[in-house]
Amino acid sequence: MNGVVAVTLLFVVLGKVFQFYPNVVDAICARIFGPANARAVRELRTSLAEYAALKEKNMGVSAQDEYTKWTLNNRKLDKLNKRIDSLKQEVRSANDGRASRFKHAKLVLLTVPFTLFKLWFGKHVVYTLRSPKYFPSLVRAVWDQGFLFYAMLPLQWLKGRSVAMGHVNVSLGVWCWALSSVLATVEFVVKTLWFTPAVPNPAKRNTSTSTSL
Amino acid sequence: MSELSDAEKRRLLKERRQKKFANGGASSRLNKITGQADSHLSTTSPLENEKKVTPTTNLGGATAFSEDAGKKQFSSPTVTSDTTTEEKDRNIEVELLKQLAGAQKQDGSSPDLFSLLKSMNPGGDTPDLSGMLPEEAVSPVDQALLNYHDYLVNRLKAWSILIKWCCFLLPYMYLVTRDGRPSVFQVPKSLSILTDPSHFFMVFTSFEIVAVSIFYQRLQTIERTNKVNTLHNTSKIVKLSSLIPEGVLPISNIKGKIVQVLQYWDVLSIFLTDVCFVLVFLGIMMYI
Repeated sequence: MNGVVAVTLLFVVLGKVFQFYPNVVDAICARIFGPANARAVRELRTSLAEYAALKEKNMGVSAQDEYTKWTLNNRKLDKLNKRIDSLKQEVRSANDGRASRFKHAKLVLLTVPFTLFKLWFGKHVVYTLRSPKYFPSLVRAVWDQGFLFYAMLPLQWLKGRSVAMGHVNVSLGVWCWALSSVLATVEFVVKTLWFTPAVPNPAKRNTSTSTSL
Repeated sequence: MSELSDAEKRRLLKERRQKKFANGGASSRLNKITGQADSHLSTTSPLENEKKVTPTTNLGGATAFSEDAGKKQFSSPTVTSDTTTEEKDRNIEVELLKQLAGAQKQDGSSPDLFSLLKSMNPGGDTPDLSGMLPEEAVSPVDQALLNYHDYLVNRLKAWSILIKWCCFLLPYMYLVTRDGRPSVFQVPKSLSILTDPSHFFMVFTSFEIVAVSIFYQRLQTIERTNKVNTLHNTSKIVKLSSLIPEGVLPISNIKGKIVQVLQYWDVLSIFLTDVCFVLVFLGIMMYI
């Protein structure tokens, strides 16, 4: 297998990892770059622990016998609650910011390079078919030259060039298209047959409820 | 002595009360209690109607009734001064119902619900109220039916792809790419023409035609059973095209044409997916 095909396969695998395991990628990024706004996360943790401890303590205080203490504790709890809400908002916005930066990074580091790679090496021959007779001439030419062949075909006829050729090469661009189509179909089949819960027939459900009544 | 004076006192009070009622004091007393002293509503009380033969009056609330009908309604109870209050109320109710039944035939004189809705409807036709509630009640059922239908259609697509790829295309391509080399399966000589590479595309296309026909027959059976048109309900393009009114574009029956184009595209996409599978598998077979 040559290097071009290997790099293509790497890009395809990375794309699928990003698609199916976004949480894993997110965790790896958090480990590498650190969690967004670590200070806020630390403060949130301590505030939550403080809140839980104070609430438990206040539940043991009688509101009738020690009203002042109970009221003071309640005020502290309200203050802590507000602080926790603001810290949660800070952490949430930091996470949202990191998610959008992650999307931009994926676009810049994966999507755009893969597209440029396909455009640059689009005509690179991935393999040659064993027999040129598998497909008719008009279909064979597409595997080598891509779908633009059909756009250039009238010009070729005008110039008197024939379409027939010897070996049938499959170019990288066409092979990527075919591979992505096959992978998407396999995903659809697996998801539909094994990962989709059964939907009950509403007509049968209605008749069964009416007969039970 | 005190008993006599008490009885006398009671008798005097009773006489005074009766005198007061006879002079129309009941309604003023009632108005004072209910706070309607300045109200324009009629304050005639039934107690007064019992004592005197008063002229008929209309209730302020029943303004939609015609004056004659109102007079007719209230004239009959006043004639029968000997009837009890309950019987009189029953007669009033009966008269009201008769008036409603009769007034529905009149134009714009009845305050009933149907005529009010009729006046709201600019077309003038009575709205189909029976359709309103069932439609709201049908929408959750329709959505459940649509979900079930989508589930069945997706399963049909998935199974058809699986069977086509695993049961036909894979073994057939394996045999075609053997090309004289030893293979797991031995093809009889009569069928060897089918595994000839030059006949591959013809056999493949014929198989695709048969497979797509079987798929669409099954799809039509499902659509007939569920009474749901898949393309009309799942395609956003069809839904958008149905919003375009006829005559806006120079093309007639644009929705039908779009549906036809989408159907052809559907068939073509199934064919292209299988072609992609063939291409990828032929590449894998290069190394086997």
